[in-house]
Amino acid sequence: MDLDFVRQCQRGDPAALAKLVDQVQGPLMGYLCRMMGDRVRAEDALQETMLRALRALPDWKPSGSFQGWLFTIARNCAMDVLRERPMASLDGEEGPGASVAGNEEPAEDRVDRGIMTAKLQEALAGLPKDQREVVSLRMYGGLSFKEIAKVTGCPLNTALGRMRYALLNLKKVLEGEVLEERP
Amino acid sequence: MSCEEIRNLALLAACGEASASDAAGVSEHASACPACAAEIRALKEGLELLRHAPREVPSRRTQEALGAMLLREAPVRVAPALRFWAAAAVALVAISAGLLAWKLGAWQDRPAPVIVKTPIPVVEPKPPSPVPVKPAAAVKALAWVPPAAADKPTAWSTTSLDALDDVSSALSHLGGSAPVLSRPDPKAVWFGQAASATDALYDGLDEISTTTDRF
Repeated sequence: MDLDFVRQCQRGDPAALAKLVDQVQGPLMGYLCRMMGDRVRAEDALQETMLRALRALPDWKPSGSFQGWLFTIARNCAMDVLRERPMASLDGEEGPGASVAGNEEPAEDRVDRGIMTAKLQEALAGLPKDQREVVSLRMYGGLSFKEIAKVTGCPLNTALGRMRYALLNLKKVLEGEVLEERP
Repeated sequence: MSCEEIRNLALLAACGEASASDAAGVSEHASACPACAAEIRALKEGLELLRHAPREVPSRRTQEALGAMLLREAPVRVAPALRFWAAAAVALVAISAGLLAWKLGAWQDRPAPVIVKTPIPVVEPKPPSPVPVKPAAAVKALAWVPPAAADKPTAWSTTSLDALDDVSSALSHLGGSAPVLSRPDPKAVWFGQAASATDALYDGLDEISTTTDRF
């Protein structure tokens, strides 16, 4: 994200802030949906994320990427919401993808997503949590692997390994075989 | 470099995050390692799949909540330079207000001069006197009442000063040991001068009365 644009937001420029919210709410929502497994909790976490981000925005310093900072807040919010209202599983045992694509979404929209997207969503939901998180941060946040490692608090090679196994699993999930990355 | 490391580098290269030399090293390794070459192909296919990532949009209700939050929580940040000048302006206003309050307080704390009204003596001017006495001016000076304490302090009025001059002049013509009435500084602060000048006026009147009795 452009530094000048972030500076505008930090100064409280209403137009810039509106644009910022417009730009980040979709990616954050995607990440939170993948991480939390249902839209209701994801939307709660999204609102909490934006609230914390807006309050902390004046103190943000360009020592790291803005997206990394934002997704770190989102990750913490997701954890807090899940701590308050724990879901049955984060590892796909209950097929959280189904509830993400649940009843709130109009049927025609789901059809429009296409078969590939639906399969991918199901495949993502079936990934182990750590792999799903790395894929989601890459896919929705556009974070570099260094940023992903920073957000998730793991070494770079661990983040790369999770991503590799996630990509391979996405191909193999339909066969019912899920790989775990090597420690 | 191990196959595991090569595969991590291959992922970085596929995502455009590897240096040119690392990317070249991956290609070189893959050309000699079928297992790594197969995984690199699979990784690229997996990355291609991510293009079909389901797009998520918050519900209308959440979007409205975010809009309201934006209005409520928009950060207000004052630039450091502006913050300095704002602080300086506040300090200046505070100091000015303090000085003004101190001045007003000092003004109000000063006791108003107490005028003890003495019966006005009837002064009969001596006929051969070369300079006519102006009793009316002297009476006018004696009738002068200092302004109320709430009024803004002012310098001596011209009328009061003229009256003082007249009394002084009359005393000098009457002779005797009449005191010299000094004209107060017109720009002097009202309070300091008012009491002493009033005393001088009454002293002068006493002298007039004494001198007149001699005739």
